[in-house]
Amino acid sequence: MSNDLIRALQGALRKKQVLTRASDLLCYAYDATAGEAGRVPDVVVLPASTDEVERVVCIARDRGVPVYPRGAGTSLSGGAIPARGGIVLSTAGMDAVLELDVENQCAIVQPGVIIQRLDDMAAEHGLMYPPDPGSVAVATMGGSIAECAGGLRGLKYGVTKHYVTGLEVVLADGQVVRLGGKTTKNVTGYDLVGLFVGSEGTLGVITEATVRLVPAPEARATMTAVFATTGEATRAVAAIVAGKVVPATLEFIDATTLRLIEEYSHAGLPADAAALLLIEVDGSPEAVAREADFVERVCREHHGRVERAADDEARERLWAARRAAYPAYARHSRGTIVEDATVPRSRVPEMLAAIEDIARSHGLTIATVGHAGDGNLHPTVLVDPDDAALMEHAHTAIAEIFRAALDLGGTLSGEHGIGSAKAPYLGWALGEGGLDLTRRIKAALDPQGILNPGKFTE
Amino acid sequence: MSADGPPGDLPTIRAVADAVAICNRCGSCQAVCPVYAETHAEPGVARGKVQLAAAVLSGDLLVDRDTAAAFATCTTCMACEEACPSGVPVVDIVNAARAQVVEARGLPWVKRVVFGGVKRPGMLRAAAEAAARLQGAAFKPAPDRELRRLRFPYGLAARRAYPPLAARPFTHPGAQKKAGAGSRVLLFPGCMVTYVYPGIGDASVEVLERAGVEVVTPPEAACCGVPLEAHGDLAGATELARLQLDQLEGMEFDALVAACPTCTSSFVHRYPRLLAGEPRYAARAQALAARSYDITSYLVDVLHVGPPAGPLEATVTYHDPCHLARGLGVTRQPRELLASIPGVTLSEMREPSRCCGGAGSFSLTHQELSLAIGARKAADIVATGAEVVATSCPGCRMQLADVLAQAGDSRPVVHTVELLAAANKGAAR
Repeated sequence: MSNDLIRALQGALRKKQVLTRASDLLCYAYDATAGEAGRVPDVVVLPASTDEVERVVCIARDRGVPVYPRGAGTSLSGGAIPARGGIVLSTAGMDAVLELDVENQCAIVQPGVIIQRLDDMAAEHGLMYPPDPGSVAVATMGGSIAECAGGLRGLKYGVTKHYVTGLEVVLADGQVVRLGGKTTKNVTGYDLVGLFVGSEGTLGVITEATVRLVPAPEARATMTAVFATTGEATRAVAAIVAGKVVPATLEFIDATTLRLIEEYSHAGLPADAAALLLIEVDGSPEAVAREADFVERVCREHHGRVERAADDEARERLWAARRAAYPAYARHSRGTIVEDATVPRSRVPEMLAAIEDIARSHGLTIATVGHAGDGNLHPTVLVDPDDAALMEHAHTAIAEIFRAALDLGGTLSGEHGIGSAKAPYLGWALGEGGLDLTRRIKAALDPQGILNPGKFTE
Repeated sequence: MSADGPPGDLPTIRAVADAVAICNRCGSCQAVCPVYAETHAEPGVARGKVQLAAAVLSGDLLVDRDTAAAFATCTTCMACEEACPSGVPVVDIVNAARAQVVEARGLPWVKRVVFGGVKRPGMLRAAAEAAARLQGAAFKPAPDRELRRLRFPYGLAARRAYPPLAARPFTHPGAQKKAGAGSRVLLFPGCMVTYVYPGIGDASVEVLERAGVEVVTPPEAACCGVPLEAHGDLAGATELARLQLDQLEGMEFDALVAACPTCTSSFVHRYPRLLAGEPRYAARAQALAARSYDITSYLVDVLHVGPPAGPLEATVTYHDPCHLARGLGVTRQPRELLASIPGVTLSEMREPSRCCGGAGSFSLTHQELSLAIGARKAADIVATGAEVVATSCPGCRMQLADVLAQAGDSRPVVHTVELLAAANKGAAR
């Protein structure tokens, strides 16, 4: 079967687009998810056009072989891992920005375009593409749409699904469909575009996307506030939101993370700090001045020590602490399991307390940063992948974190998706009815189950 | 020499096992890898190579030809190391893997013959001189610049334009003893300067002597060993490290200076590492490392040289060599030197420290990739509109001249010290 498959693919694509060597295949057995054992695919294809994607899917369809769509492989829930052999289909090479329509404030891109590149190109026209996951410099548009990536600007600007207005998708039966378009408003039939955003490669292969761009803000103000207690920090967040100010960024960094950052970068963070907020407001210069003053006052009223950036250099320095969080984790521990349990904003203090309790009860180090403004927290379990006992504790703790988030009216994942890593818990969030609907949708679009098998739809 | 086989003991790659384990596969290296930007394929990027090293260590991947090819496809530009949140020493891993390949499979015969010659300075010199005399037969002058193309098209090699080997290799007659002379510098020329760009050597001597420094050169123009280590010949590279220390033993100098950052990083980083376990050499390698400098950093940081004598009216753009910018942390000094030349205006290119794709013999073994990486660099250079391209590495200079020629561009590419020397002479380039 495997030989026939490879011959067929080699007949449909150029030789260089079909990778079969063991050393090549091993490089597609993983994504960025910690502790998700990969499986080596049978073959990797690097199509360069929709037509070639269609040919690959047809070959897979005729043989009932799995196809795993892949972008930059930076997914954090196992979404890009070839769970049971078959074809990894990388769209990384389809990286043309087909149109940047300034008048209609939108862009048409191929799936391999790096998010940052699109945002940079938009910036040349005073526009921006807001979704900015941590992997923004490497993640692809196709991958981030399939995963519905979020980012630091989510509170004010929303996430990927709020920007995708059109898609071209190759379906499991090889059919190519074009959905939506450039218009912001579009209620022509079902929201089929929305069906594919966040579908994690289980319903079709995205081969083109039309996305909205928005005017880039004229001004911004950045500040950090250091608090001696977590409670003061979270009450400050609540007070900012109650004041009807919506910062572009409202990031929370916990005491464990601050300690690790200090060990790593010696940035001079106060040793007694229990929490740090990184806040950025943007908009018109007048609004920014007014809102920044308000945010600063609120933080001071909650006993925060505030530092406000006077210029771009100072802004970079303030952001450095937040950017150092992940490297600090990585240098502290060989394994970092990043979760993204999300709760309604008002329940963040309870969620933080629950995470602390869970860490303590399992003797684990769990460091948390989070997008406090939108309730999306990133508790990160620091582990040693070779320590089986520790890993078992880590997985139990993660299950308890999911349970706590759901009990607080939240959800399993704010922006990383379910993939294979969170699949066992999907029923907790969706219930039997939700699971059943998910499977019916999957069965309708991919009756053979060839698209990204082994993930949450099974 | 064994055939493809089970991993067995694999001591060389086992030595970097801890480094391999710290990669958490975040993929940040994709943003900066010059190879990945061309291939869009995971085996090209650091994350892929580190995972392949892990697979070799776990026994999931044989040390075979394909594995060797995967590890060979890297310019060792170190951009991934700079971008890595976890601080994975990728180049150490790649070099260890290449050495493991050679240990397990032996060197291919061509490399065995070539490196055997490179290890003997006399043979290297004789071969280079003979080649310089005979090259007219093999190469024809390229029409556009002082480069040559192969007369007999040999695959992609036919597309490349190489500078001719120098008719006269670089030599320096030795110090002219000056009364009350300041410090004494050992100028390490390296192969590229000796046999391809003796003008860089002459210019180095000129600017150093002008700064009141006495210049001496090593007895033999022997190779620093990087080309051998890059191809996994760790034993040969270590042999050359010993040879260098031996030939410099007993020579008196205050500092070792080179105009090739790859040579400099050999003295600063590689020799102390390669010779760490050898009591006869370890301390000497450490001591020499502490007084080895790239020429631009020596001129600026130690000699505090003033501006050159004559003006040189030109817009100059500067390319940062990987092994100088990331390997030795030197980016400010060459710019200060260039900006100090009266009449020179610096015009920065986009991503000046992005790899030019030269990477020593990578430009020969991976010509298509090397040219594709270089084409981006050429476009960035052309976009500046600068009249002259400066860099601080003979290898980069060769690649930049080639890729600009490929792009039909004829602006000159020079080493930073050559512009300084030209300005000193008060003569335009």
